[in-house]
Amino acid sequence: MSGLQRPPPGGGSGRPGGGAQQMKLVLLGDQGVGKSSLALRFVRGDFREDQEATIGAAFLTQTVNVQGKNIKFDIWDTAGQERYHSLAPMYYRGAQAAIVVYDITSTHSFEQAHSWVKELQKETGPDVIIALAGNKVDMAAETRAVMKEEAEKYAMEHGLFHLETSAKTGYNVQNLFQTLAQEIIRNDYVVTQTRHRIVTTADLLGEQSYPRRRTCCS
Amino acid sequence: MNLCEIVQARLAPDEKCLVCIDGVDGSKLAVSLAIVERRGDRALFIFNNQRVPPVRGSDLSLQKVYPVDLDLKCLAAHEHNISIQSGKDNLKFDIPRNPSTHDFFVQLKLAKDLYSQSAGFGLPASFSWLDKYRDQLSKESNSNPFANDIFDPLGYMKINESGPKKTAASKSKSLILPKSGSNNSLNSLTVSRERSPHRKKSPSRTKVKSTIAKSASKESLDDLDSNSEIVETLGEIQKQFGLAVGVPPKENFKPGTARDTLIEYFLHDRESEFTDIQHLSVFCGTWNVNGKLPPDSILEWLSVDTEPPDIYVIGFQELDLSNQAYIFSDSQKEVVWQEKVEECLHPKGRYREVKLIRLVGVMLLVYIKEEYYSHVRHADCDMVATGILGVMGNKGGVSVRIQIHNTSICFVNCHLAAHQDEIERRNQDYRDIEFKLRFKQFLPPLTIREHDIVFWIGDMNYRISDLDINEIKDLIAASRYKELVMFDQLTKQLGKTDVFRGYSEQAIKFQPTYKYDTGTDDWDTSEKCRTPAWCDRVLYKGRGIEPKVYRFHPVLKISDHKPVSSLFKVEIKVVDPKRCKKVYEDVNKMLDRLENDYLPQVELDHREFFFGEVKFIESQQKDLTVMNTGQVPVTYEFINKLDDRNFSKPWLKVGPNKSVIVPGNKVVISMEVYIDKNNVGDLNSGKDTLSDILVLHLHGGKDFFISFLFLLLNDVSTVYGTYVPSSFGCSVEALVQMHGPIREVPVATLLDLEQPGSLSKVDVAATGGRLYSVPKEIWRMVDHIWRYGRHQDDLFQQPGLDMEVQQIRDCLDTGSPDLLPGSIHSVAEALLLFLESLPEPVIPFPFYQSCLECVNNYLLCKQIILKIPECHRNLFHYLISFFRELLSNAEHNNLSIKSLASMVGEIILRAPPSMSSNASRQLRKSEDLKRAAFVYHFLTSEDYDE
Ligand SMILES: Nc1nc2c(ncn2[C@@H]2O[C@H](COP(=O)(O)OP(=O)(O)OP(=O)(O)O)[C@@H](O)[C@H]2O)c(=O)[nH]1
Ligand SMILES: [Mg+2]
Repeated sequence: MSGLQRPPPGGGSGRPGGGAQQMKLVLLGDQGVGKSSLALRFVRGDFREDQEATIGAAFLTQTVNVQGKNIKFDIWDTAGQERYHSLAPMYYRGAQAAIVVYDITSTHSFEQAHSWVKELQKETGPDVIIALAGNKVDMAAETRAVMKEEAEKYAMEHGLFHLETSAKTGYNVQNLFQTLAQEIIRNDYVVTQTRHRIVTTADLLGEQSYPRRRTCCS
Repeated sequence: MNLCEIVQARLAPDEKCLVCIDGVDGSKLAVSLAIVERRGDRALFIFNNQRVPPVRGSDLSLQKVYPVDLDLKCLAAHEHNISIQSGKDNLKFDIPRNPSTHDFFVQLKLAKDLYSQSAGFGLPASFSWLDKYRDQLSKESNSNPFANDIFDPLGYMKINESGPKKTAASKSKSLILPKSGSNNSLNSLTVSRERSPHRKKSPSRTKVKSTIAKSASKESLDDLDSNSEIVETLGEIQKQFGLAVGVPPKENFKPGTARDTLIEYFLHDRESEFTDIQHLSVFCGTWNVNGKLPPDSILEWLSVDTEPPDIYVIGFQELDLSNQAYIFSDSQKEVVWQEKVEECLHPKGRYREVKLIRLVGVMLLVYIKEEYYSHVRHADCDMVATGILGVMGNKGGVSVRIQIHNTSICFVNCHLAAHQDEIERRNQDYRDIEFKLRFKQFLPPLTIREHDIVFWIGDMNYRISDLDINEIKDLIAASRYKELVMFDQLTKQLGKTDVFRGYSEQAIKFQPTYKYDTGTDDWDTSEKCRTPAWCDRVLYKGRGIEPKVYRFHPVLKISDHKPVSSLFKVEIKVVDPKRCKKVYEDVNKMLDRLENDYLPQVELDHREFFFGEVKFIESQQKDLTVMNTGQVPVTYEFINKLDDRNFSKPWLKVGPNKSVIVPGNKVVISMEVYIDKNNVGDLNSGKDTLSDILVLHLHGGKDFFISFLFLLLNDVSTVYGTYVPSSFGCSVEALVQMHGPIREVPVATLLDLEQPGSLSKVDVAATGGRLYSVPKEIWRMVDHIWRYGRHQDDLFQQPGLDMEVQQIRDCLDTGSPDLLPGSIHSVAEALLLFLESLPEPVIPFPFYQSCLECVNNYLLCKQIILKIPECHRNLFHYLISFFRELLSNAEHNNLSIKSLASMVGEIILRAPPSMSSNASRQLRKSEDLKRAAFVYHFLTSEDYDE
């Protein structure tokens, strides 16, 4: 016995579907709002009080299963510091989804989020799914500065979906990504991949990765 | 001349006879059969031999030409007796048995493979080159007995007819191969029917190429039929990957990525966590029926047990012995035998057919109880012919595979090579079946061994050897099978050789099943008097198989073999979807973690670089250490930001900018800031600033930003470092307005001075109208050289010292000391550097081209000088006068007019940046000469005056 059973076509045996759709997702937002913390909570399930500022763009990957289909997120967690703002397009170009994060305890970060949304809607196609995440909701009782209603109203007007999250407690984090994945499936997004930034298990195995072509979603 | 060469003589130059054999046709006339190739397309030529053997081309008269396409079939009933079919034709030939005959079959098979391959790639073969033989045919047909057959290539290709041929030609339009019933001529040699419910026609046009290409690897000549199954499978895969019908498949879609394979692997590994065991009973029966029609009942074979089995696996051999069976598939006997089987399945069970597959006389039928039918998935079948010449179907194996719940089961029925001594042939047949059989529904195709459970049945033809026939019969009479089995060829092989490795057999407790006088229980009494043997066997392999019984059924006497059957209880793994989903998610999580762990990881010792005072032509260098702290080799590379052309500013030199670091190792990257004459201007004018962010990208991983921080002097309170502006790189316009040394000029004022057109806006009242006629820095250097160096040997020919040039720069920029430091040569070099650093050369860029065009005419040259801005003109005249004076002292300073002219020309006449880069070397050389000529006029002219 070889011990290795080939995936049968047709996804029989009642098991969830095999191949994953690859999905480029970018996290944007003011510095310190918790972008890296959200990504790490989602991917690793941890949280660090002393999460250091991102100088560059961190890359992580995570698969979610929605309605029997796999969505593999390639997550680009960007730097929030203003001086790196001009480099952000490197990361949101070609993304299918973006999470714009603000900190519910900072009105400034909420204003920054507005400008990110504006920039995204201007620079990327209409197909990019944007989520607005109000993070650090665990601190709402003491220091909330952005009202939930206000954010929801803004989100509604701009066609985003909004959630309040906490990377610290994990509240709504899974939900945030899961909802994005659902949105993607609902829109039947065609996979778009950037050329050189994807690690697959193929690379782990030392297999030659096949040329990936960019497809265009219209 | 051999036959091939003789045929060649009849062909056009671009056609080649690949192989030719002679033989005798149905009318006992000598013929030659040749395979001819032209540009990859092959055809079969049949000639009548007018002379035997033929010696020249004219001895051959063309009888038939057939394109080798899907329609052409060659079948061998015996090794010396073949029939060729194409269209309505069916010709029989006797051929000698020799090596070239073998060649002929190999070539023919290859030709067919090539045809289906290229057809699959959408390259329909073109057989129009055969047209010319049509005329020949009609001419020669008088002399041949096939006069009524008119060659009609189009007819053979069935261009305008429906049917399989058309499908091949029009694959780009539609890829559903018709899988119609028995009148499909593709089915001639083989039959495979499937009645599973999940068959759907799924249009998946983009996959056609790979699909058809796959089919080219098929082993037997005429089984292209199963293409349609692969096509359907692809459709299913696409469905599985979430593609709605009608959505074009993704370009980058690839089934079975490494991750999927890993997921499958881990799921398989943890199968027991999410499956429950259910038991099914399997009845395996095999019978060599010796070409006979079925008796009234075969209940005595199929239904002797009290309980009905859950699965029936029924194999026949020699179902049809007539020559016809090698040719036509719609064997009457298949139908009657199948009907008989269905009539005699256990009366207590209700069954449905899963698959039927037949290769000539080898047929396999699989039935399953109605209630389990819906759990059967991915039923597929394939066959391998091992018969005559290794390609014909009179021997071989057929196989059906299914998946029930989560257990895959493969059934093989075979008929291996006959004769007492042909053990090695039988072994070879087994290997051929084992290695060539492929279930092509899968990508990549599945092999027999990749199944949880295999049942391998059939007339394996292994005999009892090394024992006298009478002793054998005595042992049988005494029912001492245990002893007799020791002499059975297959038993000897099992477990000891690579033949049937891993397979087991139940103990044989019944007498040999071969060879009886038909209709009796008597051993063969014919002339040959065959030794009794257990030809008919049931083997099994895999986990969770419990053998129950193994027996023969002597009541059935129609054949020279007795039927055999065996019962098993097998474990079927039933998936619990809930538990499976959990394990699946678990596995995915683990893989995600693994992937993230294996992302390239590095540590950098610096994320920001602060430089101190950075001065013109004074290099500063720092190191960036990149340490690979991850588990995989890392390739780092500095990548361009957005749409930039370079990854760094021109004054920043980085090396190595790309490299590979193995885990635990580090690379030191040098970062050098160096402001030279090419980039100083932009810094002085504020077009560029001394700051930059580099993007260090890890292949397959994250990006780091590395910042270079410099703050302009006077700009901020905390000064990390700064670019110290220098008069080097300032424009002539700014310089003539600039009072006092540049270091004393506020940055803002400097930037103002560098604004284009600043000179015309000079507030005369404010500055007192004091404009220098030439920049004071140039004046200071020129004056210095004139005063202390006009007699200096090798003036302008010896290089200065870098240190001294830097000191001179500081002296000019700060105004002190009064006397320029360093040697005359250093001052001379500083002067040249100063002129080279002017953002706009002495003769401004816009005038460059016209200067070159009028170098032959001094007057025109002078006119251009009149047109350049005043401050530049002043500077020009000042410099020319200076150099003329120096030349007048040539006896001391050794200045040669020629070298001076070319040096000065290079400095004061510079090509605009847009032009300079792409000129060829030759062009540049001629430009150098022109520039020198231009300056030469002014340096030598008698009537030079300012
Ligand atoms: N209380 C609370 N603190 C959080 C939460 N998310 C992040 N933080 C903290 O906020 C700080 C900044 O978080 P980061 O994840 O580094 O923020 P960032 O958006 O990635 O910042 P940049 O990388 O500089 O753009 C860290 O100290 C985190 O521990 C949260 O949900 N609740
Ligand atoms: Mg961060």
